[in-house]
Amino acid sequence: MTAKDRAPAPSPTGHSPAPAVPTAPRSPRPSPETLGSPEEVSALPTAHLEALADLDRLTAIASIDLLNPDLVERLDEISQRTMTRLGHPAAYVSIVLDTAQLILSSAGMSGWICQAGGTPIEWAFCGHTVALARPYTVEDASQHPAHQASPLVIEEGTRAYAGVPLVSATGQVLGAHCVIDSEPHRFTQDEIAELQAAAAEIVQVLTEHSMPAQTNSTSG
Amino acid sequence: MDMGIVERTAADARTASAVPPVKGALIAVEGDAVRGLLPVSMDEAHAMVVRLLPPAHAQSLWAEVLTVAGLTGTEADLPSMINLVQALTQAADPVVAMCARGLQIRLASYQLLRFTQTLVIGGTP
Repeated sequence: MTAKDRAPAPSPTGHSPAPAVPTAPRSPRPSPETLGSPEEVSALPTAHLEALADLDRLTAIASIDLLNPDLVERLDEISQRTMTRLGHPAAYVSIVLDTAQLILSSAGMSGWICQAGGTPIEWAFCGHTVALARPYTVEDASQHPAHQASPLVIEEGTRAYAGVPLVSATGQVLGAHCVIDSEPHRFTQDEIAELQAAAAEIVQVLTEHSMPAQTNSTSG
Repeated sequence: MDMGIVERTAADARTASAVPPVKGALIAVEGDAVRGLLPVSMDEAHAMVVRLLPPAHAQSLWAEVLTVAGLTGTEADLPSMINLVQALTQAADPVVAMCARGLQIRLASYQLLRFTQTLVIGGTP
């Protein structure tokens, strides 16, 4: 089965603690021009979720052998290098799913996020990077309306974030590569360029570990 | 550096203790929610399957997953949800299995934060 064979269906009623994922997953992604400022970003969670729930995007991610040890090892090397070169205390590679971000590789991180393997999508900085499909920076998350209430800020002490999207050859935004800091920081173009260079390498590694399209229509 | 960002390698992080460090700040709890995060529910998991698959396929996969997990579809307790999400990660459909990992991360986040909250304020999970 391909993504195009999958039909969106109404969400069931009843409480749903996860963000309500839109029922039209292939809605057009909002243009970056309309989602620039913190105020605009925080005011458009539905637009973000629509982009993240895009079925073609999820299908592209599902084609990657994310559990491959070689894949993770190579991404760990890149994360470590990014962290060292940029001089921030942590860097990671996030694969952004529809309800959570999967932290596929990290350097300098510890605690419950590593143990959980990621975070719920509503707390993920990288969710914004993927939804916007362009570099996304937060100078001081404690003052940012979209992030100031997040446990990543309140409990984990994250203050600054810079992430760039991981865009596949077919144009799907799979995730993000980013650095974070516990101190406020204004990121420079050079730092973004360094992240983008690393992101290109990461996409190459992900591509090398992509599996042939699975046309599974027999499950269930 | 404290507060979850430390000078450690990814390998160090993955071999860290299973018990998360206790933070200085209290974690907000409202009912069963921790920082607004609720455990994954049966409705939420079912909605994911319905969202990702055509109706007939979703129905049969859901029935199969419930069987594998040993559930009836009416359970609401945390152990049942853990079994359910685990079964979903093993689903034959690759997109469902991958998105189930997202639910698994949500459940794990909930459990770990709830555990930390219990240690900090001496409550019960």
